[in-house]
Amino acid sequence: MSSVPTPEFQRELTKLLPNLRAFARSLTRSADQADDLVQEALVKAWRNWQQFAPDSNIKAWMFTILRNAHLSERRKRKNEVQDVDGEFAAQLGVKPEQPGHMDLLDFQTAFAQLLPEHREALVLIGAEGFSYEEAALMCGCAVGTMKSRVNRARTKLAQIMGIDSAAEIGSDVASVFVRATG
Amino acid sequence: MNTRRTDFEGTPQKQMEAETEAAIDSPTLTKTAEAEIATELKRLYGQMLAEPMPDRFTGLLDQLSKAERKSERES
Repeated sequence: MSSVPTPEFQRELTKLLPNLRAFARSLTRSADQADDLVQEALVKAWRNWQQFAPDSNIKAWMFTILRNAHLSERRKRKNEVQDVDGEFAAQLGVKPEQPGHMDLLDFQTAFAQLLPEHREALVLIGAEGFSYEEAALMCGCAVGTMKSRVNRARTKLAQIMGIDSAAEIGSDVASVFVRATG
Repeated sequence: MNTRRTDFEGTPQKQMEAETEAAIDSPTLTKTAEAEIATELKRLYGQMLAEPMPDRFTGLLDQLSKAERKSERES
């Protein structure tokens, strides 16, 4: 086997770029930090490409690399600054284009307030469609813990947005209130 | 407001177990609320996926690829 990554490997990474950026954005809540993280993950993947088993899931592999890079970055940063208020005020910085039942900005704000492990669990399961088993493996936790995180993330989102019954979701009163204050 | 701050890596085992139990015990959302949250999450994530891609990443991969081939030729 050649010591150089194959063009196929490069094509696969290129295809994954949007997902890597979106996942990185969900973790960091900052477009700039996310892109730096993606860059770091790509370089790491390139250097360690021989560790990738061709038959396995390259997305799961790349996400794990990106996640680990994020965690070590977080550990480094924690020693430098304590940005508690900033974290709470964080947004993902996505501009809503089409209004849904809930105001997207409102959902985004609520999502950004979740605990990091809850945001991660929600994205892996709810947005990327990984199985609980896959996500647990990627995050190094038990399957039950992953299920619990997703569950708690959803409950917390509903709580932040003031949804506690089906009747309140997307009601006209609620959306008018969100637009008036948002 | 929940001011408890937990890090990925800092979540103690006992607390994770407690979270698992609490989640099993806690009331779940209605199916409609759950579906609505799922839809909004996909919409938000979909917008992030659809964002224009800067050249820096494909450029980086090309650079890495060229550098590797060069060093392989030289070795």
